[in-house]
Amino acid sequence: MESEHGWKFTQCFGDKADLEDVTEADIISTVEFDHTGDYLATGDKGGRVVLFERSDNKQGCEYKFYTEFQSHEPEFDYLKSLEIEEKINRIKWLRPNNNALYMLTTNDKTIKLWKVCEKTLKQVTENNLLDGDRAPPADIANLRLPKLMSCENIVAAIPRKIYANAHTYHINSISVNSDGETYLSADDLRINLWNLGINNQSFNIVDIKPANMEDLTEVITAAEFHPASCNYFMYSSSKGTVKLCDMREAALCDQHAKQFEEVEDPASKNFFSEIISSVSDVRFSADGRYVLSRDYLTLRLWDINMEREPVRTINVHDYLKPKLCDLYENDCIFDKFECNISGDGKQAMTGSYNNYFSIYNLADEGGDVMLQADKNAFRAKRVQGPNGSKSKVGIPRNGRGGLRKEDVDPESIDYNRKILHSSWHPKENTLAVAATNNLFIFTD
Amino acid sequence: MRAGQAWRARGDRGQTSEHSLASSTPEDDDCVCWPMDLRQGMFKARTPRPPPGGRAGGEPQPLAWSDYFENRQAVPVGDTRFNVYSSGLGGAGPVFVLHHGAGHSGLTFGLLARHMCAAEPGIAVVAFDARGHGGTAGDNEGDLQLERLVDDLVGVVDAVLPENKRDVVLVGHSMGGAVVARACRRIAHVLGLVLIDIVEGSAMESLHAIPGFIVARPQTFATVGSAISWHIDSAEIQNEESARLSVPSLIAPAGDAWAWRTALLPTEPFWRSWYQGLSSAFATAPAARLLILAGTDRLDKELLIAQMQGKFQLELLPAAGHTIQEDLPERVGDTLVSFWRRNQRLDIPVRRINPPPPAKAQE
Repeated sequence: MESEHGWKFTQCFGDKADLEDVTEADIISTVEFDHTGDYLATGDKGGRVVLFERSDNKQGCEYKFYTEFQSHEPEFDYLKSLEIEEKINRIKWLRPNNNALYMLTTNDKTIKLWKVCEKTLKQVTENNLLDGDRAPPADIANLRLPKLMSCENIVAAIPRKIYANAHTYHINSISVNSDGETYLSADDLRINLWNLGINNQSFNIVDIKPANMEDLTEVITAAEFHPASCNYFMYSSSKGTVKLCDMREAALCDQHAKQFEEVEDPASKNFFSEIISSVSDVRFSADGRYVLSRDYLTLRLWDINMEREPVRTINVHDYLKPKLCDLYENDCIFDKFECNISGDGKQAMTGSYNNYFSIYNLADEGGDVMLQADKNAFRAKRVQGPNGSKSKVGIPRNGRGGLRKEDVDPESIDYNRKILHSSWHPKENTLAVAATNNLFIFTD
Repeated sequence: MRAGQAWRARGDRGQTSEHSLASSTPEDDDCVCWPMDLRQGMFKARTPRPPPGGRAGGEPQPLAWSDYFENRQAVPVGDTRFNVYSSGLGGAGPVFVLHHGAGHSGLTFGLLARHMCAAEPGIAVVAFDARGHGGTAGDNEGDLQLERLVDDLVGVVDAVLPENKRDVVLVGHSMGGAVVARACRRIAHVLGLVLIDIVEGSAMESLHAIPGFIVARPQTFATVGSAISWHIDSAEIQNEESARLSVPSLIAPAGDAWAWRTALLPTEPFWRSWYQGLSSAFATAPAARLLILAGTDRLDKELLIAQMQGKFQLELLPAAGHTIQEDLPERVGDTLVSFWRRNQRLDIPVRRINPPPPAKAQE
């Protein structure tokens, strides 16, 4: 009997060495499909961007290495004596133009617009002097144009614009507007609006910096433009709120149009309540009617029209609740997990520890799948849950067998292997999942 | 130093970087170095350390006085039977008489007593519950006039240490400091006087804020464990073990819940009397003087002058909250023992240089 969900692990990129041998610069820090799903971009801690191109072959789809370029270099801020990391925090694709791909990449401080295109390299095969073998022509009538020959096609990445010096704090998100002309960049305390064509000016649209930094209680954790309405954007905060803002209302959008927050029962507050309520990622669904937010232990689906409570709250890894003290000690409680929503809005995905990640069916309860992005995953044994539960882990290539979330033992989990970054193909159920320095592709 | 190196910090137990968000100069706080990402730094700076070992499971359990003191007795003085904890009364070394502050109890010194008696055999420690606090019972529980408290202290010391020849060191925390400073002259063989976290000027300035604090805290607790948890979570007591020992004596059953043993608001009329004149009483006390502060108080003018004149020893323990003896019992204990050692009376036998002339024969 085949499983209903045929999520299969199809590809893995990156060298599959043990965790201790991984070079820090190879750790993938962001993954993003483009609008067609034909290209996949990854950024790593070393400031490099690697692009993969889809090619369809008889076995199905396959992604192949396309090009790689160094997007950001480590910098030193002399005024503040701080190193600026070259780690790529986000990549966002723009619409392709003239056979060239465009994307925005950002590190903590600087955003760059890259154009990636194929260039034909031409070489000079014959010139007037034949490289010294021939005497210069006697008179002007014998002067010939050098002959060029196309030798190879290369993929070149050219930085078209560099948007620098606009952020004091670390940039955590960028988002391109549906109008194709503007984009926003968000750091911990401010959100700026840019025009793609102008790199020396940006507008500040949200500023939550307190007058006295000692009174700091809230930071911005993620921001995104509405996929269809060019005037709406939302941002999430460390206090567990998601605010939707309308740029038509005021130049400075400190007043939110809507605030999505589920007020917690004060009796159940404990030491960790505030930390685990911090939203780490927030996404619009493709139709813009739903918002998916991820905090440390749960995934919440909000209907844009209902601010009071989410439509659905999913417990991602409840078994971690008794371990919060240890997770605070080793800083894992501050990990920022991303979440993804499928192109059709019917499914959502988010990561966990031990390289586990789960795919949830948003339309109805049940039908959740738990997988593991591990090189050994496809060799998992066939195990059946006693009540035929549908949660499975480590789906082998033929799509059968696996374990359940209930079987996960928090003591035996490797908290150094976590799925923080991932991307969902916009048009089909294919997932690109980053596990430390490896990229896994799963397809349904 | 790389900003935001969260990955490399994994696996390091404990934090190595400062979590202060305060800037060196207020106007250019954009130039402050953020040792880690702002969100993490903000959370860590704003919340106290969580208790060790997960408490998500059960509530903290109370601890027994008998693990910290040898002896507990009811001592009648006047119209009140005082609950007195003590250790080492049979020895020959110095006696440390410990007076707790308003709203506390003798068990606040539990960890301190155990540490000191273990570090220095021969020491005796006496800590009692003051009128209207802890296990002390009697009439006139609300009379917390300074004179009354001083009489109580003198009475308890006389009863517990009759005809005492041992050296005595008086130690008072907060309100207790006001009491021991005045009682100093009325007790025999007082070698040293120690005040813990109390300065007249700062106390007088903050008197107006105390009712607000009293009212803001929860009036009842569902269980003893939740009372202990509240003290720890609100950073009233930073040491979990000490909170588990002392908090149960601060609450009393009220119906099927627990309320505060000592109603502090009705004692407001007495507050001024406690602290007025404390600095001069301390600076002129006929004993060696030691002031232990958590560093958050600044010395008032009188004490500052006295300190410059070398009239007392000042010990700063900035890592502690107000209940220094509970937060850092080992540090306080070591300080008290070395304070006693340094101020011991030297018994130098008198040696005559020139022997007296022999008696002249009668002429």
